[in-house]
Amino acid sequence: MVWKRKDLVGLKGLSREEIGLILETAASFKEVLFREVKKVPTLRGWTIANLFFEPSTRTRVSFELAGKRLSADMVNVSASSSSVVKGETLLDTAKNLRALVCDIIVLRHSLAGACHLLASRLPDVGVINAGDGMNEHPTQALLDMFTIRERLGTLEGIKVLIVGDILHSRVARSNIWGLTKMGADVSVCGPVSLLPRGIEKVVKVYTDLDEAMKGKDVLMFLRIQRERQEAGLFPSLREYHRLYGLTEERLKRLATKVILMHPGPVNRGVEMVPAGVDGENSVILEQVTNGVAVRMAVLYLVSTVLRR
Amino acid sequence: MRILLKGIHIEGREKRDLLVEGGRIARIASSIKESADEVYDLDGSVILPSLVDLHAHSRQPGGDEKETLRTFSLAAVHGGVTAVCTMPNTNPVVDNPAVVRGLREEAQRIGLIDLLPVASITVGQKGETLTEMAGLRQAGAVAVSEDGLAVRDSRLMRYALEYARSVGLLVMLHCEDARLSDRGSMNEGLISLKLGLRGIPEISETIGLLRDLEIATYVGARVHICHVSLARSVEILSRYKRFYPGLVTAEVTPHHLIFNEEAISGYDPNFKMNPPLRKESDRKALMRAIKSGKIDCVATDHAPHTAWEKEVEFELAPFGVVGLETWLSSMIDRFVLEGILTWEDVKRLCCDNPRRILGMDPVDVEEGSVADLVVVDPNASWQVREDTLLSKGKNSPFLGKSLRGKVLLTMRRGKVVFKDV
Repeated sequence: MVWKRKDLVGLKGLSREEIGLILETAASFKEVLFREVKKVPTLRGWTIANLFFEPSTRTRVSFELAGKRLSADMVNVSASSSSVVKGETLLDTAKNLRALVCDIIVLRHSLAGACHLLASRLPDVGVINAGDGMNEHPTQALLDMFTIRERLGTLEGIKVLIVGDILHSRVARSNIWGLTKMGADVSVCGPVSLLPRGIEKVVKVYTDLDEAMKGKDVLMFLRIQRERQEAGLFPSLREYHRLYGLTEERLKRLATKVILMHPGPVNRGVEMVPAGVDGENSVILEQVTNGVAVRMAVLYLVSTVLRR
Repeated sequence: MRILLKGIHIEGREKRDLLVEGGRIARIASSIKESADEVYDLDGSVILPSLVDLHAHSRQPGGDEKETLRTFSLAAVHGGVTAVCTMPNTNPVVDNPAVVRGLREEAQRIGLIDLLPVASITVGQKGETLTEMAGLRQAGAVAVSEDGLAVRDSRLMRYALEYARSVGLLVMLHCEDARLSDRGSMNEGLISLKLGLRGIPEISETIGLLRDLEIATYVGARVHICHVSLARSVEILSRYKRFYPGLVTAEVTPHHLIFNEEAISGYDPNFKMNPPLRKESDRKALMRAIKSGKIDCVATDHAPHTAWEKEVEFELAPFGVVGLETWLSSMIDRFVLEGILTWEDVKRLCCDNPRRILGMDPVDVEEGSVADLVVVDPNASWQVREDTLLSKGKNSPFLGKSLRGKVLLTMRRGKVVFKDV
């Protein structure tokens, strides 16, 4: 299988083979991270821009390190320090980056479809989605899948439960599209006010976490934003934790082979109690490490198309 | 001035020649040999009364970058439309007699269409003070409407409908509970879930519709419901129409009849409008409703925007698409030539009922009638492109597509206002 896309805008449109190829490529790059000299010359001479319109530390740093491990030059452009605040459009900002001869743009944006817009309008620039609104966050889902596969040996038939604010979550969406395609059995759990309408046509839906957790191999807790509570979507963080958090009591009942995931940053005591975050079942920090390998794989694969 | 149109089918029936003189249809016969100042050989084309659009945005006054009255008029006659109701959400708002008069006079100077201004319900569309509806009517406003900014305060809405009733002014209502639409940009459902876009739920339209119909029928005001988009709204409407005959009429746009929410898959802002494109089952219900008369007419909601406003992230792009120029063509291409609607249906939905709703007499293509006419070649195609659209707004959902049903000639009161022959 040969990679044919100059962009990675989401997992929804990818085939099982394409996702498989990214994960295989990531596995071979992971080894680089643990060498004494953590660098390969693959993208020497390439320039990659991290164009971030939303605050992010984890994802931005992960992409930055991925690029640097591949010997690319990395520039960080954040909305607060750019001309965006002066009223420049997204397309104009991106065209300026192209004029500065950036080969790949990694885009984080608060609105769905932003990556589609750039990818379709910039035929000679690679565009990688680092999160667009509520739509997709493909590299997060890829690193989640990579981590599950590394831990459990396969994705086929693995029972994954995603818990929390599914409605506003691009992480949930990318994971649903990706995991389903790879043969995993995905279900979601949360209050109805945080579930997107129509979700029951896509995956199995639970509103009771205790029932939902039964027999699952992977529990993925999503970050809950305080503003959702302020907007009235649920009454309080305390009740949220009691109904949809990993409590001490739920942690005690957990089988040893079950793995706990979180895309970060964790609200300790809300989505998960600290004993869960730091405990035996948690793979949260492995997710972070694997993120660099996955992003190296994506940057590399996209570059092979742009090079042609 | 005598104008002779040769070889046309009246509403798709047998071939005739038609002589126009003194602003009226002077003669219709199988062959007219008399001399005329202008003779058009239109063999095989179809003639209809010109179309009347109950819902369009001229962007005037104040929106020259999106549309001028000249480009607006040109777009209308290119689409076979000779009278257009224009919505008041402009800068300044059409909320006083001077603006209404100014619009009419400017359109008259251009001389292509009858511009029928719709004034706002409240001053500045602020939802606080009612406009002087009697004065507006006297100045030439044909109706009042708040369009996209539905009056939120139900008590003020009651007063508005009561007052409009007393001055005999039609009220056009965009029905929406804006709190429920929130920041949505497309229909809420499986497709919005897949695209990660915030949804506009069905209930924002149905609750707005139910409230407005309850108030209107309670106070006995004559209302016209704008751009219905849902099967559920059709059900609600037909119930009220049955119990309160003559009080309620309704329109649907060509884009809600032709497209469904799946058209948004590529985040193309030319499919972003309010109300949004809905499910395929809604589209089908709207089609049934125009056949059965549950929805009275088709209106374009022509809403020109600049290219730079639409060349942005989907959720940032403004709502609205242009429609005047593709209206008739799209109805012919998708419905008449596919055997779904007849020419009589098109005449009823796009020509007769809009006139009736405005209290005007329908025009028939017969001797003695006012020569407000459109001649269209149903078998000729045209490409919808930026350079073929005469409107300043190029934000058409048909952009890049080919449509059968090319307007050859548009006539207003016996004068040719558009020709492409």
